[in-house]
Amino acid sequence: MKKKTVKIKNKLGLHARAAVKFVNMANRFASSIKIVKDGNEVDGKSVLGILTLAAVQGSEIELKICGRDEGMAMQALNDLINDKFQEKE
Amino acid sequence: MEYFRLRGIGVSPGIAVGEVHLSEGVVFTSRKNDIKPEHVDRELKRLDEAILKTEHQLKKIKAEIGKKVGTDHSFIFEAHLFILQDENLVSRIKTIMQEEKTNAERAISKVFDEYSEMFRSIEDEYFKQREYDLKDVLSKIYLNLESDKKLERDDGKEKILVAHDLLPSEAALKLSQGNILAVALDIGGTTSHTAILARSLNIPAVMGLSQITRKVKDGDTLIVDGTNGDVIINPPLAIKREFESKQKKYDKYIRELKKTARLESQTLDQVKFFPLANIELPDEVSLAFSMGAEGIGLFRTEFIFFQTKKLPCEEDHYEIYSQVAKSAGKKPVYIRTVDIGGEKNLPQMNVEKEPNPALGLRGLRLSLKERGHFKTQLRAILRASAIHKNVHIMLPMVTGVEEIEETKLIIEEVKEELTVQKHKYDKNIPLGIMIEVPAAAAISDNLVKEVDYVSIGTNDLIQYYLAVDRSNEDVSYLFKPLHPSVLRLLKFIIESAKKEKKDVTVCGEMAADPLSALALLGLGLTSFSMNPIFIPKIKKALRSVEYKTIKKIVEHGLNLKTAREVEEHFLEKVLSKHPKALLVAEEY
Repeated sequence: MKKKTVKIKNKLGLHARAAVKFVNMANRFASSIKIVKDGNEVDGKSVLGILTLAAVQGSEIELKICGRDEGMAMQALNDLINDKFQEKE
Repeated sequence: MEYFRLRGIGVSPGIAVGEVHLSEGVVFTSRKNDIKPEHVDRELKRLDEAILKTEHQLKKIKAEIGKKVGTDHSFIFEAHLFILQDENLVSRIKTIMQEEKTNAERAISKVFDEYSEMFRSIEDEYFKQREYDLKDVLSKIYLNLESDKKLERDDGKEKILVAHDLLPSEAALKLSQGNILAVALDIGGTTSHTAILARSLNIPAVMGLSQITRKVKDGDTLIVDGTNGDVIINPPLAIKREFESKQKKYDKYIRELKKTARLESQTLDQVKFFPLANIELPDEVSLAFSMGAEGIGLFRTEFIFFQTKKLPCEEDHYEIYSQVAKSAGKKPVYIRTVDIGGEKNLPQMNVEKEPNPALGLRGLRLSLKERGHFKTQLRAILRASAIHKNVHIMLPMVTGVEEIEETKLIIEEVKEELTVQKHKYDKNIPLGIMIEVPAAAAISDNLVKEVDYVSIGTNDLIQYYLAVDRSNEDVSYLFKPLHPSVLRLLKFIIESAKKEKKDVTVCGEMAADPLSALALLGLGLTSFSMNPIFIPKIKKALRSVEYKTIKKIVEHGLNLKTAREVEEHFLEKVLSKHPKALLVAEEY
């Protein structure tokens, strides 16, 4: 199991478009992917779950990834968040 | 068929008579339909089929909208596909069905309740609103569960759309089809997305009817009067005929007004004047120009602050201002810095409740106190000025020269910062003030030397000057724009500005009332800024008179004793010289 806390940097936060990108990426991996924010844990492969977190810009989320490709998954999702989901701001 | 009349808010003018088409927002059933354990599988299969069907529909709409209006607008359907394919959602529905041995409809409504509770507890407005996306998707599945109940498909027939509310995606989809004669909704108001869309597409609309979806059914005949906010269900023949003839007159009136919109803005003796628009949403720019506006005389910025619970950042401002500056092209845009305070309170700003808000911390006073927010707004306005160099800064609630001097220093600071950060802006961006405090009016000859233009906010100015709260029924009769004292004050402001060769505009309701507008013309005013729907009417009034005649009439009026005398004098003289000038006041 890998754990990491990441800060959301893009202006709109984990909004619908970003959540869709996140799930798209998460679905490429076999590992189970969870996101925790303020004590709430949701499935990282669920768009709805992610939206209910209301992760705005500047909020910190914890990724909990468990499975045979957990290392790669963590790397990819971490990059996606730090790359601001390829958004301009 | 029962005959009913309802009263709502007319948000888009015009009259339509037609057949009701009820667009049902699905009301999720809460009734539990038990099913036998051996039938659970069959019920699950019914759900899977409905989900599959929904998926096909969404993919099809996504492709169609993508082609028609671009992928930006089709994203919403992509997001809906993701929600539909969300394993957690589907498995939760199935679990409930299996555990409770209940039908799919019941399970869907239960899951919706669970999620909506989560969404409703969210503070951020954007994430809170996602509840509607979920509702959108679940209601599609819900409708697909019944094989005979098809998802609404449009038959292309002309109809009046009746609904509880419309989601932005629905409004765009339905109103752009070209066969919606009018819209009538249970909820909503003038600034809702659907209202703006209806106005720009010239579709009559009435909102805030609260119960209309319960009172009508498909096929009922409906009259929608978007000007007055009246809706009549199953009218007797006589009433139907009356409205049909009203409708014809109205359509003719609109055609004439639109013709007027394209005519030159000048009086009979060739004095040029400028009709401008007061707006508060960027989408309104095109409507304003279609009505004959020659610029945006007042762009209100308060709504930017009411959009979210957080304070808006520079980009939030910039996005809006740049959009307005771009859509206005070369025409001028006067952006008023935020006029919050008074009764328009803003929770994020921690403005305390004041005993006397009209005389309190509002407008520029608040901006000078909350300097950080003021600078953010000024930065965004300045950056937007680079696009077409058509942007003007306008300051509300100015009382004295010191406030202007202080603001100028802040603007200089902001300009320097922008230069260092290599942002472009219009170096000569004009700065102006609203004159709405009597003290400012009294020293307008001095104030006008400090700025590039002034704009007279007659609504507040008259309230303060006559000490009358217009919304107070006991004294509202004293609110008289044609009071000789008001006319004298206006004369002083207008002449002070002209003496310094500075532009002067009136952006209050006086500019939108034909008789008052003529009075202002007589005082020498040539810029009139108003709600765009009044522009054709005012333009028509001003075009049908001679400036020099009106000037004489008004000069005489300044020496009369009461507002009533002034009004009678104006009416009598204007009508004897220009019998047609005020005919436009009768709309239809």
